[in-house]
Amino acid sequence: MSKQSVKILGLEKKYGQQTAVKQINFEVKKGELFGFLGPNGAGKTTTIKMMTGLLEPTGGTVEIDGYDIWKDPLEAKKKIAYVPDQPNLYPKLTGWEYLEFVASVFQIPSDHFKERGNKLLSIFGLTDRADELIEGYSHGMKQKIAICGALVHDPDILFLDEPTVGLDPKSARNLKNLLREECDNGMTVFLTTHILEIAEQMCDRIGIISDGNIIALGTMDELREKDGRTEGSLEDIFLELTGGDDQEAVIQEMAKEDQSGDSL
Amino acid sequence: MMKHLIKNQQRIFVNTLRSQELKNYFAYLVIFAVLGALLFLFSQTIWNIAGSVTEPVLAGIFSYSLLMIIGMVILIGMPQVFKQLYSATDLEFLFTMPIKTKHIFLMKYLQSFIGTPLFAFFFFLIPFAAYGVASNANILYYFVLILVLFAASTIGLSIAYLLNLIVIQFVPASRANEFMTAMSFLSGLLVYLLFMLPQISSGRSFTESLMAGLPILPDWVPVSWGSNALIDATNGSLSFFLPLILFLLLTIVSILLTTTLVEKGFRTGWIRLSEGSGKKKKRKPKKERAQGVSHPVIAIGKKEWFSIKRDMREWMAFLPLAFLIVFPVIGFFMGGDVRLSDLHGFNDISWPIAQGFFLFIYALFNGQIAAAAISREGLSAWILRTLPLAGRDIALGKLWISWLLPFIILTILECIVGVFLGWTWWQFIFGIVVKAGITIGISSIGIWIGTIGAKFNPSNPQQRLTFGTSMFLLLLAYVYLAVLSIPYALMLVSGEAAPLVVEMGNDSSGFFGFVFNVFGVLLTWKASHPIVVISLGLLLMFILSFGIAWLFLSVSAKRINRGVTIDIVSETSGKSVFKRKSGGSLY
Repeated sequence: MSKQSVKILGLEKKYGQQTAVKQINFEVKKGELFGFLGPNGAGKTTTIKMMTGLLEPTGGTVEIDGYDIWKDPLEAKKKIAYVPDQPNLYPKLTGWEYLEFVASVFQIPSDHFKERGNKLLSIFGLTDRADELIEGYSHGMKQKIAICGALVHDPDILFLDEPTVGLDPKSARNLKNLLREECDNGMTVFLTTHILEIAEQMCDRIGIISDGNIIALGTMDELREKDGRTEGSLEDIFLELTGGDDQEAVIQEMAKEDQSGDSL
Repeated sequence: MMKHLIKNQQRIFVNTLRSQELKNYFAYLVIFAVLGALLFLFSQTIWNIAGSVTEPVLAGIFSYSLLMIIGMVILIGMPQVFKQLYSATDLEFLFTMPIKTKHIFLMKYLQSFIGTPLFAFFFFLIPFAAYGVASNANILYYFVLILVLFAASTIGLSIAYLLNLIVIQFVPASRANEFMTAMSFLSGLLVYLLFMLPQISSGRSFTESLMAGLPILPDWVPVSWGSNALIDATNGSLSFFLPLILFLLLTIVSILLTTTLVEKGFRTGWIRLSEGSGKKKKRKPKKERAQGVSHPVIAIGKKEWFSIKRDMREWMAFLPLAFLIVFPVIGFFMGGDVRLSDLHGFNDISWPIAQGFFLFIYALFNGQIAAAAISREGLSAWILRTLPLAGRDIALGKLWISWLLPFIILTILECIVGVFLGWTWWQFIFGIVVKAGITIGISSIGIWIGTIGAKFNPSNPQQRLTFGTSMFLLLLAYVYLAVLSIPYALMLVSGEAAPLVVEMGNDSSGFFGFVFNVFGVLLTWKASHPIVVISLGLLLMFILSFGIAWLFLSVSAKRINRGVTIDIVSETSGKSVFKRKSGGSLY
């Protein structure tokens, strides 16, 4: 776990006067499961899009296994796979045809593709639906086939934006187990999530972004240490760092008002 | 409840207007100016001829105009009504509120009226009112005119609603959007036949009947009632009353008929479309899947093909073919004056004409289809952007399929035409091979155009190019054809024509004189060494075509590598003025 898979240096994104991501720096090591957290609008999706070549940074660099995603895009993209939060796939392709397309682009040998494709479909319970058009899939099924498409070519680095949204509990559990297994086998996973329990259970390291800045970075123990705690959940740390405590106080205040209103 | 719904719509309308960009206001201004000018010209013509129009001619004009209003509202209104009833984004919210379905329906009906029907109403009201003033029509005329035009617009809208409400009962939910596109086409045909009805029933052309003062339509046709009411009102005769009442009754019946289907057609139809039919799909027996891992360029083309063949709307791009080739040919032979055997055997004339015609069609289609391939990615563009694909592979993958499809379709059509006209085998082969070469250039121009003006409207996949770029594409395709047609014409024109061309060259001066002189010299060579000149012409043409194809592909690949921006048209409640640009990045 020593080699860097992803190296972010001074990454910045500006939209006019507004800066969505402010010169952030961090690294993700090979085989690491890295959780990227932050409140809504903090800059998570903007960062992941810049890391996957979907959005051009205003400044800074993203290195994927030593390749700059904007200078050597093809080499960098050979190493990665990405699953967005809203997987808009080709509606007129069947699930299997989609996997076949991805396999063709990565030039995976047919036998290996068939074996890997069928295994992934089976893990996510899509075997029986693989020959149906994607347009007929539910949101969760689209999410699952997008994950299958991302994993079918055994990428070195997997980027997942809110991967568990829309997944049923069984598929979410399967995904968690699969990601852990893949990371143990050397794959690097970079995921964003709002479900802090998932991040706490699964991730080797966690980065928290707020208002475009990385405000915390490290293992769970390191985060607790930084927060001056010896124990406590990721939720507590996250809320304290991102100012969620203030909102909680307002909610409690409202609840009190409701109770006093009822008693009158 | 209706009051609240109307007030809400009014607020939405005002806020939509307020939040428009300045360029949209400018566009509206231009549209209004053009329409105003059109109306002015239209009204002025009517003003000038008002005195000389006889009553039977006027009756014909009224009947035909009412028919036009109904036809126009059905034709344009069909897809708009579908959007209002089944894909408006506010329906989900409205159906969860304690509002009667009938009220929501009436709101949607009113919303639809403020569109094509209202436009049709005013577009005919102004010129006809001008006629009334110019011909000193009785005051009753204006009163009847407003009622009749309003009734005609309402009948058209009610028919559009009725067709939508009925059709939705039979359409599978997953294919509803595609089916509506097909319905629009069929309603177009229906309206076309409606307008042809006078011609078919009388055997005379419409203008012939109109000018002769003969009835355009039989008296029992409802639009004749409206027309009769207007004629009687013009003269101040009270006999306008019966036909007017009949026409208004018909309008009321059409509205009532539509509202009876509200619960069944509107609410349950919407539920079916948004939730699916609830019936479990029959699972097909599992087949052994083909092992289709192919080269990335082939894979991109295959993916395009699947998207095209499985979406009925994609095939609409080929519809103009029907109007350009199939209908005219059928009409030509149905006329009875021409027999097929009359055309058989004139290969020297029919073949070059057909080649020119097919090249014209290719210029029309190939570029458009190729350009559409870029924006077809639409919301799924992230997939190609994150895959390790070079711009060259993407451009090439999209090029081969968008070139092959029209080539196959038009070659089949050309073979059918050729068999009927008795072409020789070498004419078939030569024509097909040469056109295959020429059209690659047009398709690659299309790919390039697609990279500079891509547009994607999820609910209307035919809209794949911005207006300006589609015009530019048409221009480029014809310039390209004009250049390529020089060596092609050299091959088609017989060497015997050399003296004539040389003489034309001597008679002309400047650029045309130069072209004729060069052409004359080449034809003289062709007369003495036909095979050498034809081979050279072929070679030159292929060099030009493949050279241009290579050039445009390279430029397209560079643009794709740099990042192609696709304008995603996001529609809310059928209004499509707001655009969201997807991020410019690697394709």
